[in-house]
Amino acid sequence: MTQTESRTKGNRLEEHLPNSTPRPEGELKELERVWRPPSGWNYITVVNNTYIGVFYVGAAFLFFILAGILALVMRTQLAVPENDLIGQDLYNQLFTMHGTIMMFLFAVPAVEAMGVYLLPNMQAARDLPFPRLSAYAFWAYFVGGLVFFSSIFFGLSPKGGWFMYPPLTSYEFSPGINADFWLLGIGFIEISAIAGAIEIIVGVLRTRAPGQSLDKLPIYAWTMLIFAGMIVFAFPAVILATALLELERAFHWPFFVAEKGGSPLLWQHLFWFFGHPEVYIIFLPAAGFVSMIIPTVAQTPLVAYRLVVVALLATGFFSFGLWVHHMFTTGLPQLSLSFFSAASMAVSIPSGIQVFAWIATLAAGRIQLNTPALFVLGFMFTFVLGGLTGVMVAMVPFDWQVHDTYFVVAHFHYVLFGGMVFPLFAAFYYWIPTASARPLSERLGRWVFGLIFIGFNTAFFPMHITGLVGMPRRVYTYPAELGWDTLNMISTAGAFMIASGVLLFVVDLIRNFRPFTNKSPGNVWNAGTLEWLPSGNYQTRSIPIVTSREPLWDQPNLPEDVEAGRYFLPGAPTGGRETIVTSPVDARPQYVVQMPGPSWPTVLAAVFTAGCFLGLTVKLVVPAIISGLIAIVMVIWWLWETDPGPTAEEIDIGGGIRLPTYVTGPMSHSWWAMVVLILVGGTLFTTLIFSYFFLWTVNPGAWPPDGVELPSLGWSALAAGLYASSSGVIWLASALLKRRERKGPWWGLRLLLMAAVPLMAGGLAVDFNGHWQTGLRPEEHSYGAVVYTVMSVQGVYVATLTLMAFYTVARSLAGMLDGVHRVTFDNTMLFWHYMTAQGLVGLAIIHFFPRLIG
Amino acid sequence: MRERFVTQILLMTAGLIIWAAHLGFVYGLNALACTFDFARLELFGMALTTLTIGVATLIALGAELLVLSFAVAGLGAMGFGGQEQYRFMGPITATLAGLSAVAVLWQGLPVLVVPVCAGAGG
Ligand code: HEM
Repeated sequence: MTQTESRTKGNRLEEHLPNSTPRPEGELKELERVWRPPSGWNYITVVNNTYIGVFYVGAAFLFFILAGILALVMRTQLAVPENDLIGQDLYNQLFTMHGTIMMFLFAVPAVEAMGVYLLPNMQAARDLPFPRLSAYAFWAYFVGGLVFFSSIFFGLSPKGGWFMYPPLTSYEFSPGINADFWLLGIGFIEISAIAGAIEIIVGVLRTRAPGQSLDKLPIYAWTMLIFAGMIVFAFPAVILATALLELERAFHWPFFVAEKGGSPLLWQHLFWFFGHPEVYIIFLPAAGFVSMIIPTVAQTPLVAYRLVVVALLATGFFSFGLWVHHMFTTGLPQLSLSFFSAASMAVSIPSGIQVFAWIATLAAGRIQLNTPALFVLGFMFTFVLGGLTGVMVAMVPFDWQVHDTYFVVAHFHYVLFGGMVFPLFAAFYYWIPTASARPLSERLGRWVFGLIFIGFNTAFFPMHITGLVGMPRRVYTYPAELGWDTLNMISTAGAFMIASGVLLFVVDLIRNFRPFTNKSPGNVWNAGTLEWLPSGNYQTRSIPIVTSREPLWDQPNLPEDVEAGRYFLPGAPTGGRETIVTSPVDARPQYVVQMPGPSWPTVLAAVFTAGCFLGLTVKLVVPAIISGLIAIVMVIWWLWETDPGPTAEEIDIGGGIRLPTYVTGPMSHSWWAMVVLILVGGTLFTTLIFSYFFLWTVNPGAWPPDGVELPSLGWSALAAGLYASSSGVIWLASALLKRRERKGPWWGLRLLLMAAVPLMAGGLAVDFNGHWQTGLRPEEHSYGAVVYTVMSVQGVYVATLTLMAFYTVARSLAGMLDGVHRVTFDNTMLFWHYMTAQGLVGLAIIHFFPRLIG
Repeated sequence: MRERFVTQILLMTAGLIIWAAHLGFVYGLNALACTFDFARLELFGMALTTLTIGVATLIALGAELLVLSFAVAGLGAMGFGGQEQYRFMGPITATLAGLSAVAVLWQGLPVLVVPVCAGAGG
């Protein structure tokens, strides 16, 4: 191309681009200033997703190494028969901790962390919509996880296996605090995972590059959307399960005790309702990595994009149909089990679709066999093998044969290691050039791959045979004469080979990984998606318009124009952090959201939340309460700065588009987050109601049990009336507030909020009193336990809303709330109406259902 | 042109939602029938539970087909709020409904061969 040609081409493009160059002086400086992370000690308050994302991935990787070390100890113990290196008790702790850490502290956080890092880059957003929330999720997880891990040094680790079946884990058979560590630790980390999921859902749907409509969304973003959606529907079940078991352990509320009308099967239902989707929750994002890496490796777009989206959606749904699958040998009616065999079959179709799309893409292009490609191929091999043994395990009679043998251990490591660890390493090698001044070494990378791949198959393939010849899982040793020694020795050798591969990877990191420099080797693989645009702490200089799924391949000059600031929002016009919020389907720009920056209270809130849970675990109740209160104060302090109101009228982002800097109502991202949070609450409540009905089927003739009276209907009607009227008052406040527009803060609002609080609390008190008066107590029977739990959950909402009401009043007193500047009020309002709805449903079920059947 | 995100997403995943409703229903019914021992009730010489599950399966299949034909016959364009979104979401809707129909069928068929409350342990 001659110089004139290139200039005319440039000019022609310029006419279409939203902003002209040269950009005003100082614009870039300002952008850099606004997004610069703090220095010195304040560094740990950083919230930019490119920093938090890297910390988060790093922490998850640390837990992978720690749990891997535990695995090596186990493998050393099992290398020879009748080994007395460690005893049964420690071995129990080891496999429980290994399984738990791998599943809860490594796998889910690792893929969530990759999302925090990658999603804004792929969508050309400046950050995720709630940067402080991701920082909070990270710190809570990191601190909580480390404390949980160190329990092994004090012999305090749980030992009930990673799925913690009661009655083994309840107060009778597991006194001491080992099981509490598991319950509170995991419950806590799940909450952090949910916080991340809310962030991801709103981020994927609302902060995309203009034009990046759903049909142009990178497959990875689709997988993360579905991943986060699955978390919203699956994790509440395990949070409820852990809460119930903890209530049983701490206060002897008998949910799982058969003599008192409970049932250990309830735990299994709740746990596996989460547990089976969990496998897909881990697998989907990993499949997302693969769907991004394969097109680059083959230098051609993904074949059958739409079909892959179909497969992802179908996997998301079908995997929930599998929960009973894990209980094949527990004696459920045979027909019920057939339903779930059917669901197992159904879920294999979408996995098959994805595998074929990958193979077709590889076949359509010319493969470059670089390190990411090797890991992807390793993944496909391993995963397909794991899938085959999965089909075998899904066949009911076969399952009775191999249940609880090493065959199952081999199967799930093929699925989990193959399905998630290989893609993760592929992702590390593939994306590190976007985060580091240097890429990792290709030469070392090949060695890392070779060691891990061969080591993995050496370690786990023989376990299929060890299982078939009868070696049970979870045994700390075995006698010599059974002929299991050679196989076990081979497995152990393989495990150490994996370890040497991982070690070599760490060496590669130490030599080449240089994050946070704002320097980058560029688009080293010639990839097509936006995370490969030139970027800094502010992500991209300007936010591009996207017209293709692989904009870097199809939109010429994109990197140069983006970097020169010719696209949207090339500066920081409000003087603070901001990004464009787009519509969920077509990604049309809707407004510019102002985002908060670094903050101490966020970090402290996380630390003290962890402290509170830890205090509860070791039964230091007073310090726990103090810690909890500090955490609450910190959260309030952090939130205080996050609803800035309309600071500027409208902002020109370029191309004649002027956007507001503040919106309220269903368009605002904060409304969306609240709705997702309500979905989480709704799921938790639904699983609780499921538990209520499940316990009823356990006690069909006695619901409520003999000698227990239901409160008179008058009480429940009064409670319902109080809840409903509190919501009515809030509704009135909202309507009146709207009419006042910008007339400034208003005492009437404060009055109405303060009137609604006692109405709501009164509803709860009346309901509670009704049951208490009849003599019903939670400790005697599962009926009382579940009724009091429904009220306790309602109590948590009432307490939270009381706090929110005071907070909202405080905002009003501070002059930060009026008819326009009202996001804080809207959040309180939405949550309030949800509380009322949940309260009414709970009342209806608890008071009417027994009368209906009685 | 206004987006109707919630409607569009519900429409797109309607097939899967029907599948989930069917699963919940047949599983729940089966569990209740065995717990409360009404599995032995008969109507026209067939076990009442079997019959109900059969009918539920037929209804679910009908609903899947309805979604499928709705998506295939460009009718969908209206539901999706415009031609452009339909081009992407229409085929997804149809494929998901087809896939779910197969899954529903798989779930419904065992009823014909497996006795309702036989214990799995045999
Ligand atoms: C790094 C290589 C790994 C090795 C050498 C390894 C080895 C082991 C061993 C020896 C056991 C105990 C078997 C028994 O006594 O029953 C085990 C259990 C388990 N592993 Fe791994 N593992 C590895 C990676 C992983 C990964 C990546 C995951 C998940 C993402 C995982 C998840 C589990 C689970 C869930 C259990 C079951 C724990 C229980 O029985 O409660 N492992 N593994």
